[in-house]
Amino acid sequence: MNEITTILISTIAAGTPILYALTGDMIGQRAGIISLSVEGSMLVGACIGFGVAYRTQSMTLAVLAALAAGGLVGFLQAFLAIDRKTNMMASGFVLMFFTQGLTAFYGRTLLDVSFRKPLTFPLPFLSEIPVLGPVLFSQDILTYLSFLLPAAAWFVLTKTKLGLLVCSVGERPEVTQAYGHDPRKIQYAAVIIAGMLAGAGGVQMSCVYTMSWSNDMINGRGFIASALVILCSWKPLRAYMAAYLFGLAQALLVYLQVKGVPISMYVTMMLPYLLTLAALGIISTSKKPSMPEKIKVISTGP
Amino acid sequence: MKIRNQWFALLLSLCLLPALAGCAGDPYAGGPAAGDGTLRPGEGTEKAAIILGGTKDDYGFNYGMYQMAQQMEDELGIEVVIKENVPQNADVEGIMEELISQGCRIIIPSQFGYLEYTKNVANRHPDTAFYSIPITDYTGDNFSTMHGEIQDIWYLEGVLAGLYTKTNNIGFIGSIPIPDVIVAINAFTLGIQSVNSDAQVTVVFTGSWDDAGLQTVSANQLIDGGADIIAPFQDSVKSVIEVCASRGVHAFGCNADAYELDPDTWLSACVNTGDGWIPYMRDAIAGKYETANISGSFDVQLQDLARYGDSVPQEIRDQVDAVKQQIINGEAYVFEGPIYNQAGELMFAEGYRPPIEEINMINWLAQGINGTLN
Amino acid sequence: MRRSKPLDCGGLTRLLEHPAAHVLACTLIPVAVFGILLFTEGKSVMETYRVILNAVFGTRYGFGEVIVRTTYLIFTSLAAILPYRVGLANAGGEGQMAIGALFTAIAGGTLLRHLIGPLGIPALLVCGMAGGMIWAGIAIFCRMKLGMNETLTTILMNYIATYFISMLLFGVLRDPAGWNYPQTVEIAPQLRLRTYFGTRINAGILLAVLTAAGVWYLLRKTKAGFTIRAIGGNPRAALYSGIQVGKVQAMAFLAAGASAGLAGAILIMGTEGRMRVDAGATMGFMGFLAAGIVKNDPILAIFSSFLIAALSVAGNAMEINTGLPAASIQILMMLVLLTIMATGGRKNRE
Repeated sequence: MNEITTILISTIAAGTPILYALTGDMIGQRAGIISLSVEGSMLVGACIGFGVAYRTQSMTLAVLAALAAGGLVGFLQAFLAIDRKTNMMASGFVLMFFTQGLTAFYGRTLLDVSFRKPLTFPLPFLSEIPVLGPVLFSQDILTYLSFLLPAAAWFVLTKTKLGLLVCSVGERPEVTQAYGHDPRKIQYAAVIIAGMLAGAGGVQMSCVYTMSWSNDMINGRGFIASALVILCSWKPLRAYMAAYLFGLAQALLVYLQVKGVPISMYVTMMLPYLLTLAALGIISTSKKPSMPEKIKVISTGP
Repeated sequence: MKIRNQWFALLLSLCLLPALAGCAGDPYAGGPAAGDGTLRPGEGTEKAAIILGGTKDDYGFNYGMYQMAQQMEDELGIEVVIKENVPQNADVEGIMEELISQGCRIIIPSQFGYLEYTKNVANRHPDTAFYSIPITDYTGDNFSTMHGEIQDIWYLEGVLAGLYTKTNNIGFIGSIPIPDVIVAINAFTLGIQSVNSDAQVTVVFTGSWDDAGLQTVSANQLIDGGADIIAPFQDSVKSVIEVCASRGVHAFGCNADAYELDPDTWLSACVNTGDGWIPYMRDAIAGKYETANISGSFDVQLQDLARYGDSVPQEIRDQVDAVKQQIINGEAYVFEGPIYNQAGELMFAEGYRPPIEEINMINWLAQGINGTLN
Repeated sequence: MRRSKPLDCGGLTRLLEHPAAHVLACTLIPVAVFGILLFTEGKSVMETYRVILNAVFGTRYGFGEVIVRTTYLIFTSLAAILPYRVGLANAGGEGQMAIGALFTAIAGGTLLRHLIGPLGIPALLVCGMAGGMIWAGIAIFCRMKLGMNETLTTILMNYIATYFISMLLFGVLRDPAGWNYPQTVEIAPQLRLRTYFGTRINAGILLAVLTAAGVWYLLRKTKAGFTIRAIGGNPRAALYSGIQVGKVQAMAFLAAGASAGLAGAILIMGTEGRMRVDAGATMGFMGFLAAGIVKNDPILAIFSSFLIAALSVAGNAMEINTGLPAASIQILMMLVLLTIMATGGRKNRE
């Protein structure tokens, strides 16, 4: 296997959980609610998904459980942020620490078990293509779905009435109201969907990617995903770029060390964050980001 | 401009406050009153404590310490409290005070970041026995050191890997470059080179003790690069073993016997053994505490090689055991010169056997390792 | 913005807005929920709560530990409050505190090590503030000049701070006499803060409370505070009325960095003595929470900081006494914070 293929496979693998959480949180943010709690949703998705997968040996049930669990955390975030008007960053932090505790506490029995069902499903013919074949077409179902996810989110958010409704809540809730829809319900739905998608990202991470459950295995990835939404300027199609940028940085972290490239290991570890910062700088200066009005009020000045 | 003046006033007052508050003063002093001094350190202990940096069920170092706790409970008949997830900072001083107030009289701080706080607490509580695992020069009075040297074991793992590998390509997933990890990489490589001059070792660091995602990326890339054996120096080795199992390669463990996770993928590991500790603690409990300053592996029964995996053939086991015997009776010495670093400079001269103090200070990688420390 | 009815019934919500009922709810609900968890784990519920109370109020040393942590949390919560008041969000208290601590440790171990205490200690506090301000300054510079979102920048800068500090601790700053462990040299003994009452309490807590009071005074009683409130209320209107919004925002952000940096300086001079990778870990995040649960009120933040500090100290005692895993502390602590958030009044400013 050549090196480019190796790097690309690592990039996709490391980027996929991020892609789920990122797309999810983007939908939530378009409706005006930032969910740092996607970190928590990913954690419970990873933990409960892995537990269900191990007990039932069924990946379908695992994904459903992860969706439900992630959605539940999303619901809590929605309740705190929408009905209780808490600082949505703070509630995200709290839910993250809370789920860290819960999963570490109840995940103890999952630390020594394995779930080894082969999940890879190479597509006929397509997977034979050199370089791209093994990277794109020799994956598991969750990864295939993630390829479609941002495109689907883009379609729904920009081309359908439902999507416009979601975005209108984030921009001008009065308008939504005037058209006879309840902005609060739409926000709830958006944040719960954010949690569900993040839960799917979590189960992908535990069942497919690392094939194990370990304490706090998400380790800030949900956080990063939530931050990357801003990098995408709330445009769903840019989620590919942002998530795989992070994946690439993780892949390069290992690759540069394997090749013995003489730069400090810590610089390589900073790389994902530095790259994100740099990209953010470029995007912010070149064009004013299309920030949802509600979030603008909360997180920036004029 | 008014605004600026007020900000200035605020900042200025912030600077002046401590001087006014009179907090400048003597060196750090104080702390609760010392014990009455009639008891020897650890005498009559009913409760001991082990302070860990991670969680006890990680199948790595902390799991090994947990197993030792159980051994202490069985053989000494005392209760052993485990305190998990203690960061390597000053918090540990408060935690030790709490442990002592709960009646713990033997305390085992497991990480180097606890050392000087342990010394502070040890000075205040002369009737409590402290056994540090990392090597230090704070040793004295009720502060003992029981440092398990891992280079011998990692050398044996290297011998095993060098004999076992078919692709002559071995991967090492390090956590952070602290002395133990650097020593392990070098000893492992020297072990491989002693039996297989063709094999190459590639080292990557993840910068974390338990990031499953980075472990997976590292393992996969090393395997893609041709490695058929992965040696992690991580706390939590579960995901490395799972990835290796799914890719059909083999893996070592780290600091705990995790044979049961996957007997086929498992090769072996370096493990802590409680056998070396028990006599010292038994003496302490009986009121015959002596300051211990121990550093070693098989010879002092602090470290040993874990069970072999099912796939390790008998002739390799025999060869590894033979090398183990040579180390025990002094014929072989892991870091015996000549040893060269990556740049080819002579680090230990021909025939020189560096003491543990020097081994601990190694901050270079041995010749033949792919990877970098900086 | 709310149009439809809140999720819970209105009467209960109104009842909870009474302060006494609120405090009662915030105590009883987590205690009850966590009690169920304890019960299902087969632990004695009453015994566990006795241990928790005893850890905080039962021993002088334990109470001292709570106060020591409260000190850092007050500073890091102020680091979140000040920017919030001018319409910015600073999630970077963690990194700013760490860099402040790093600066203090470097200065105290090298440049300033021969200074006498009364000069050296204020100098080190300034070093810590400078460190925090530089780290916050990068973020606010990116905000002002490049239009980069400061929330994202500060979150990313936390991670960068961690790796930056690791790089230095494993490299040039490694104590040559420290057995090759990644830590700086110890700062000079005359630069350490004096401790009182046989605990580790130092003058830092006084400084922290006074700073919080000062911020309250600044916000409530001064013209600058009026400006800040105007910006926090409606930045655009403030801009149109001739206030130099950007300038005030930048200064508030730098002051926030200085506050987090002070936490780092006191951390090093008080308990740590030298810089390590783990020094002050999670204090920045917890400070952000301490600010968040009291809706960014500087005086209330003192109490929320105390609460979080008390829970973390009590958690250690609980783990030691009951043998529950470390995660259970986190569950209890977050249950308390979640309840505070979920029952908090909606009448507060958004």
